Amino acid sequence: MNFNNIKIVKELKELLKSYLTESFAEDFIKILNEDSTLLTNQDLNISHLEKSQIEYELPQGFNYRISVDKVLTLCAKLLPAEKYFNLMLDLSQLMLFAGEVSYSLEIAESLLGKLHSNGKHAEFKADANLMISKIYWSQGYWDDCSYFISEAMKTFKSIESEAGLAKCENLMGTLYGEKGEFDKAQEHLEKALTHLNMKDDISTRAMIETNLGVINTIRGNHEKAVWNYKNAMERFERLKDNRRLARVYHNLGMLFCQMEKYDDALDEFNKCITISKEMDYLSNCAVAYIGKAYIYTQQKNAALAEAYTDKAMELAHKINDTLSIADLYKIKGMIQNNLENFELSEEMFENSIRLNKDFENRLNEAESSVELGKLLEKTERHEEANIYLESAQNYFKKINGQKLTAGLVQQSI
Amino acid sequence: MQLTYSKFEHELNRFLKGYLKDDSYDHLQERLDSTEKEVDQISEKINNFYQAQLQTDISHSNDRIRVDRIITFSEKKLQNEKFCKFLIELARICLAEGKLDLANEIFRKANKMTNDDFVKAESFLGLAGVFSKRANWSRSIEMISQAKYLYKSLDYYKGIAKCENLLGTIYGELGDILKAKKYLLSSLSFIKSDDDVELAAILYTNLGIVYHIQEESTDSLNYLEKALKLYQTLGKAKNTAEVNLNIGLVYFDNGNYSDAIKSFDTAINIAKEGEYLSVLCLLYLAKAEVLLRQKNFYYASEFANKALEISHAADDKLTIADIYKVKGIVARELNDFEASETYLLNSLRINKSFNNELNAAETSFELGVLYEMMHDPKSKISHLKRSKEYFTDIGASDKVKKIEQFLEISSA
Repeated sequence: MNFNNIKIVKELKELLKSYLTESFAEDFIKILNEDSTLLTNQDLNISHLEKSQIEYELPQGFNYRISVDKVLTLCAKLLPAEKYFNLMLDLSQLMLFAGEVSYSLEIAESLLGKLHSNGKHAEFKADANLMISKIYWSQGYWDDCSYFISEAMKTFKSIESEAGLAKCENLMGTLYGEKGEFDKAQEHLEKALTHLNMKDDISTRAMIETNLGVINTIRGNHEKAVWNYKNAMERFERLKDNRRLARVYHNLGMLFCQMEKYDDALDEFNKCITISKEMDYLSNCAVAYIGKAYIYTQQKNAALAEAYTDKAMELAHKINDTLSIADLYKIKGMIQNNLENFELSEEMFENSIRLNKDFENRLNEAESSVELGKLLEKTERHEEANIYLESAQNYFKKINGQKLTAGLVQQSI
Repeated sequence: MQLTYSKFEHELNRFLKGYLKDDSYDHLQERLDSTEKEVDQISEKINNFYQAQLQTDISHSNDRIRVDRIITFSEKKLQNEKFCKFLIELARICLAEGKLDLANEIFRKANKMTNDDFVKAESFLGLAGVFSKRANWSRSIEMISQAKYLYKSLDYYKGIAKCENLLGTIYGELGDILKAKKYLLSSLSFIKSDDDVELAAILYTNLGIVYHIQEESTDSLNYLEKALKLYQTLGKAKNTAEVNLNIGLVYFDNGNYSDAIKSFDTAINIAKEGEYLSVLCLLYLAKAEVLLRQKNFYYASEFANKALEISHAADDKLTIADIYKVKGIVARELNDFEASETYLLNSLRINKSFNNELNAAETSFELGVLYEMMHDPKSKISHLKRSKEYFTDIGASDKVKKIEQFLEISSA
């Protein structure tokens, strides 16, 4: 691919020249001009299913926008206020699944703007705050996410909504999970369950079960994780909630990955992708594509790994999922490592570590550090390798040496 | 052009069925389908000249990889404070290119990493710019005040001027033209236009826009021409395109369509050449408005659709509201009143939700015209009165006269 025609590249080059010494800048620009993708040039020998997955054309969000805007405008006249507010929440959620992050936020913020502070629609206000926190969570903006969860929590407390508090605790759990603080994550998820009665909100219970499954997977408690996922699946099936069901399939795929049962894992990822692709749930697709790319990397199938990585990058970029992008750099690094292209591999691992640091994802930072450490050892740069390996080891010790799933994004709900 | 995704529609329908009664649901479906069909027929009628103008590529996921690689590399090579300054410039490039998510991420990183008040202020101002592009006024103003506080403590007047300028543009977007003008003039007073040429050019452009809204065309054109000269001297192609757009809009509102089109086409050439999508989007919209005035509905619709595609990708919400207005007028002119009403109400809803009073007033006027055609005097009068009230407040006498004429027709 030729980047030289892209205008932004010219500006970037100028900027680099003004900050770096000329020789550094020139060397780096040369490296940049080497395309980091499709270095393998291998023919893809793939099944029909994989072909359709790789050739998946992402939807253009503006088409959604036209339809949803019309619905919002017309329903404002057709529906009573409370029903309309519910519709707004549902549409905001739907747009988040569809990867229309900013539009999802716009709808949730617009709902918040419609609600008065007189406490009349307190529950909607709390739900809108919770929705906004989810949107920030999906982009890795933890401070904003945390702020809006506490806003939601305050309101749910004031109206004594146990179900609402359960949802907040669930989200707090996923927030800590994403940051790699699993003890705190589990604490919040368990607290979430205590807010629910047996008859309560099936959907929330299934979400909490799924997230407990993620934590149990990370901790290597496979049986418990399977039990969590089975429970969650049964509930989502009962609710015909395919969006979340697909996420559980993905997480089950992750579990099989950790157990190195790659064929079973591929089956689960494919189930997730089939549902999600059919309905254009881009956020599900992004992580499942990463899962498949990881397996193909492990199986040394560079061409397929690369094809899935590139598609996943397109998806993650579209939905601004920076943590997935960070994981993709790690997989790109692994691919280049397998191809013995060590320089590019090192750079990709560094990208991954930097982004994970920026977004405070300590687990993934440690995992990428291990990969970079191994690479540096392979190229006999032992001193540098030790720095990365030790920093990773310190983190793993801190979380009690739990067995970890290398290289994959789990999908909390 | 296929405007809907059947699978997505299916999902929406499932949703709506849960919310609406059968007859309301059927009615809504009918309306959704009818407008899509209308636009679909138009797509086939595009000619080569317009097609060339409309060809753009808006997906640049490779840019993300490139920017990431640059940041990682530079972080290793540069000392912390130099690196933070570098981040600010990089984020500004992303912002100017309409890559708001990336700009946001990089400004935040600089803000977090720097220990230098000046760089922190610059990052706050950058974030204010991102929020303002997304029409998130409260967060933008909050960031400006943090930046301003730091600039003041450093006695850095250019920084304060930049803050005042951004405040001016925000109040302009909110339709508070007097406040906008006050901030812009205050900003101008902080700088020496010979030394701060670029900022002076920005302020002249913004003042040109404000005078245009107040229907003072001569002053408006004077400021815009001054800005154009400065930008040409500086070799700033993107800004040159923006100023040409604004000059075209002044001609357009004065009924001088041929000069308006000349300015727009000049700007489109520059914007396409430089891949300045955010400007291109506004130009497509402007072109759609001229074509609309010339009763060229097919091409007007095509330009509006392309503008919608870009503005959605660039997350430019206020432009989306404007595009709906144009689509509403097209439908109205084609006597498809139901579709027209939906689009205009879309526009009004979005403008109201982002407190954009100026655009809301313009849309209300168009709704007034529509209700006149639909023989619905009550809705007509209510929208026209709302519109008149706003334009009276900002002293736009020509607009007020026009609305009064319409009100007279309605009472006749």
